[in-house]
Amino acid sequence: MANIMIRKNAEGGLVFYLPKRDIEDNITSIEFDAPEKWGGELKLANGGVYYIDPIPAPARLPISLRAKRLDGVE
Amino acid sequence: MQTIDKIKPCFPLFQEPEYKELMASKRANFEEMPSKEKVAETFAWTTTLEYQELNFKREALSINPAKVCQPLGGALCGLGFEKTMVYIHGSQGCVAYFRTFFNRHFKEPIAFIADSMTEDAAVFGGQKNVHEGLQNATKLYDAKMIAVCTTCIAEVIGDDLGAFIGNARKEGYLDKDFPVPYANTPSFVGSHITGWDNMWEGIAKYFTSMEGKSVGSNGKINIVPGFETYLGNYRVIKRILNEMGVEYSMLCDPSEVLDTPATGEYNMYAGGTTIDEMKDAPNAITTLFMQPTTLEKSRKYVEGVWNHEAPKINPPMGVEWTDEFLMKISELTGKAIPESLNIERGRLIDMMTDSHAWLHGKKMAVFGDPDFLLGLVKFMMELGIEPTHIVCTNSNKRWEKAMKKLLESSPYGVHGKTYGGADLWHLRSLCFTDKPDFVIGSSYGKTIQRDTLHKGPEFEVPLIRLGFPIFDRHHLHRMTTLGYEGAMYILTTLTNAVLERLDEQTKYMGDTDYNFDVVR
Amino acid sequence: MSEELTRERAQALIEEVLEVYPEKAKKDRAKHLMVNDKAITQSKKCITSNRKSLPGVMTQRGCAYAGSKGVVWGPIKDIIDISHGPVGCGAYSRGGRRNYFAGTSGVDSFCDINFTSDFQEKDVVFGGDKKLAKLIDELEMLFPLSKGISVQSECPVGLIGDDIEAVSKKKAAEIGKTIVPVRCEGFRGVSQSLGHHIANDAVRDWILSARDEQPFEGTPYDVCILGDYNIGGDAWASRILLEEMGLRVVAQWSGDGTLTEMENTPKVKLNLLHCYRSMNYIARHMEEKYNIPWMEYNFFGPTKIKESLREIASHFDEKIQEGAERVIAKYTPIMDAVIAKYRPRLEGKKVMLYVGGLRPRHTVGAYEDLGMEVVGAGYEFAHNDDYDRTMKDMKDATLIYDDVTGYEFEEFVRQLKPDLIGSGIKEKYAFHKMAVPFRQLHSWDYSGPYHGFDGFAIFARDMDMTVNNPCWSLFKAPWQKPAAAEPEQKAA
Repeated sequence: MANIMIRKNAEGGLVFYLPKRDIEDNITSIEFDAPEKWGGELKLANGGVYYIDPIPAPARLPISLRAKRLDGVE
Repeated sequence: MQTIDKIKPCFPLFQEPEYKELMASKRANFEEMPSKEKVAETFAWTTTLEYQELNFKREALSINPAKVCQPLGGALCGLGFEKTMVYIHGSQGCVAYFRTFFNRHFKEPIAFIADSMTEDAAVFGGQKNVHEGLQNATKLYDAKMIAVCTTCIAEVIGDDLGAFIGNARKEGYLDKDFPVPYANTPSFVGSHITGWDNMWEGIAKYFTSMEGKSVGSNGKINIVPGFETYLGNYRVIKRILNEMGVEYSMLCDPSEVLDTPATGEYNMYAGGTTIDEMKDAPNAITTLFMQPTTLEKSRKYVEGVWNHEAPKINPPMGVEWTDEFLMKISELTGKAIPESLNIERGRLIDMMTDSHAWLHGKKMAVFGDPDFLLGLVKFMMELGIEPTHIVCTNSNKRWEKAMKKLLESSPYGVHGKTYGGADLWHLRSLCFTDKPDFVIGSSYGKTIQRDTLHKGPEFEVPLIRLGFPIFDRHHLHRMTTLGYEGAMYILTTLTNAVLERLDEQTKYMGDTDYNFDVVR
Repeated sequence: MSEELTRERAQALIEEVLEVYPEKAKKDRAKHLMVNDKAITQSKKCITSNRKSLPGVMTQRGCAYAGSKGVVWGPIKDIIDISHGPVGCGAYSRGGRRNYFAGTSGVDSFCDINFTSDFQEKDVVFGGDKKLAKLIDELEMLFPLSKGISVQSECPVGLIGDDIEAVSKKKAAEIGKTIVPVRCEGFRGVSQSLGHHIANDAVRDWILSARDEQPFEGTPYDVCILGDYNIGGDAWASRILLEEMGLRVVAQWSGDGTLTEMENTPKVKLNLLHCYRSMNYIARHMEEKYNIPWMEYNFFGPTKIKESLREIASHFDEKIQEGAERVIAKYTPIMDAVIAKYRPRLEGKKVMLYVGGLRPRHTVGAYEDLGMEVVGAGYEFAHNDDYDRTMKDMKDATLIYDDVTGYEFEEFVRQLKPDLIGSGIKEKYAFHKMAVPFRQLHSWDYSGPYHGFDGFAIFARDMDMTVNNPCWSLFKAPWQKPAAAEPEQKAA
């Protein structure tokens, strides 16, 4: 588990940031993206796959969360 | 805004009205700094005797101490040996600082390496770093010797450096015979001069034993310079001994590596004392320590192990102490003092007669390393200058006694007062409450000049740069302060500082320029 | 002039340089050297960074203390930084960085003074907390106008188990000022970089929210400059442009900055981030906590400055956008004149850079404005997010080196024969010996500012004076010169 931050980029897309590993990349897909349930598996442009516990969609971004690495580059 | 004909760097760019306004409006609108009046009032208070008393009550806080830490001295010592790589066991940041400090003073490349201990090494000890570090260093730097000293991280966790190096040999990280002398140089003990002493002792210990040695058999005099940053001082001592026809060993000589020519190729090494010379050192007639109060460990080793008498001499600065030095050499070797040195002495005395009127009775405060201060104060008094505040952050009891005795030996010493362990914030107070005409010391004295000027032009105490480090003037590290030659340099520096100052004060047309003389 | 640098040649050069290392070191160093390929967007695939330096190999890096005290905290002018521990660190980090401030030193500003607890053996054995508490009282007695104090930990502090946090809290309550304990011991992390992060976190935890509940007279045009340390006055040369375009700069972090400015920063509308490496942490934090967007900008060289001004303006209304155009129009003639004067003297010159965590990529545009080409670039303490940004800005086949060792850098220079190197003082004099013109790009070589339009004029002047100074052509005595040798330097 690692601390990550999810923020919006200028184009409105989601950006994943993992400070400890200097990973900053666009999120290409998010498993749950509904007001009541948001999160789950995150796929990154670099091929990395992370998991965050689903939560109600945050009122605004950025948000700091804990994430687990499932697959892909480190 | 810039103009193409005169592109202005920070000064005078920020004197332009738009920048003055920018800074003023930043201060007024965003900084919540105290009012101008409050600042002025507080500044004035910092110049008072009342403030000085509070300032001297400090016990825990050190402000602008005129010293740095041990490994810097250890590193300079290692640098003085032939093809020697200085290796510092501990944090890498320290080594970046040491290199930078010397870069700024000598304007030369400085090659030291670290074994980059980090958090895990702090927990598990630094043996792995020593092993890998020595392996890489011996492979990469084509050194004949690696001189190891330590930073405080290794000292605090209690790394056993000797054992680590021994294990490195056993486990094949380091050739069995590759010379790796070492010293413990904890930053929380002593200062840079202590570190020099420790490293020199470490090198002497590593290379010398009395087996097959006999004092006097090589007919040489050993010179141990101590933490010496004036390159001319290495050169002048060698020249004196050459002129006297005395064989000598300069035991630590970085005067080449710190002054290599620009040729198009960078050479990491140049000159330096050879290992053979060091090994042969116990065979010398005796050993002379150029810094009498601060090389205790090295002296003990030389006296105890080499059985050298190592006569106690004063630093050969100024006239009489250089005389003493020459007579001592003559006495030890039976060689006469040659006419060339007599002529040189005569020239110095001649210069003193020429300049005395500008120096006599001038009051000067000084700060710096202990033995440098001894020699400087001695020569100042020979010139008729009256030393006033004598600040030595890295002082010791021997030095304090010696300085007291020295001041008592001359009528010009009556105003001299020693402040052992004091720092430059103490000296700042003293320069306000009992103003000297000048302050002599390293570049760090320049804030005293600025601060005193801020009180008003009549309070300004100009800085004369003699000592270490000198970052803000070029090439002064190449000069000489020892011997008659060194006295000539000091005399020239002091006299012209006095004359420059007089010009500065008298250059105003129709006002003070009656004393703005073209002949002086 | 050296031959064109191709990818093959650069790669061969890397292989050649690696030959000298022992096996383990070779394997490690290989990961830190690469040839740029713009097709790759993820630097992680081709370069490793922010890892431990090899023991016994000459790194140019510093430590966490240098990153915290030296870089981030040192420039805040009304806070006294205590170098807490042995005497060296405070002395070595004094005065060399040239982070300018406007104030009365020793009264309301403290940047150029070394305050230290000068640890002795007994402090290491018995702990330094009591000394620290006493020291804070003494500071308060002698420097009543200071706004706050920071405790910058040196190596021993973290090893002997001192509780500087407890002391700081207790004394802060007693004297009624901000006191910030900073755990920036030099052994933490692998370079200055962790020190920046630790310093950011300390500001976040002990300063940033101090005025959250207080009213603030804001405007829609409030911004903050993050990551400008006012080297040679950089921040002033930047601030002037932002003000001229109609923005209100509430805070400068941290060059010529004050505690008040930091405390007011959460009220701004936009954070402008110059040195990404050392202050992205606090920018991200403010984005999350205070909903303040941030953007990176680049004030080196007219091309990048113009781009940046327009991008900054795009976050605001038409008034500001017009302001940006007005500023650009105002300075364009002088920038054109600078380029007309210096570009012909510098055109085609090759540059190699090795600096901290930002400038190797940020100054490329300025060199290009002068017609110069960057053929090699590297960082002391960058992370992969820096290299991601770098690879985009560099040409293909540019040599890229991370935490380069003295030996590697010298070899690269011997082979690539650049006309100018921009790096630090530890590197400077070795390259002087090698007859390679050199400018310090940490301290601006005692010149500057280099930021902003005013700064670019100085930058151009300085690069020219160093590249074209006659000294470089005098290295060989006449009797040493081969008969056919041609003078390499243009007359000044």
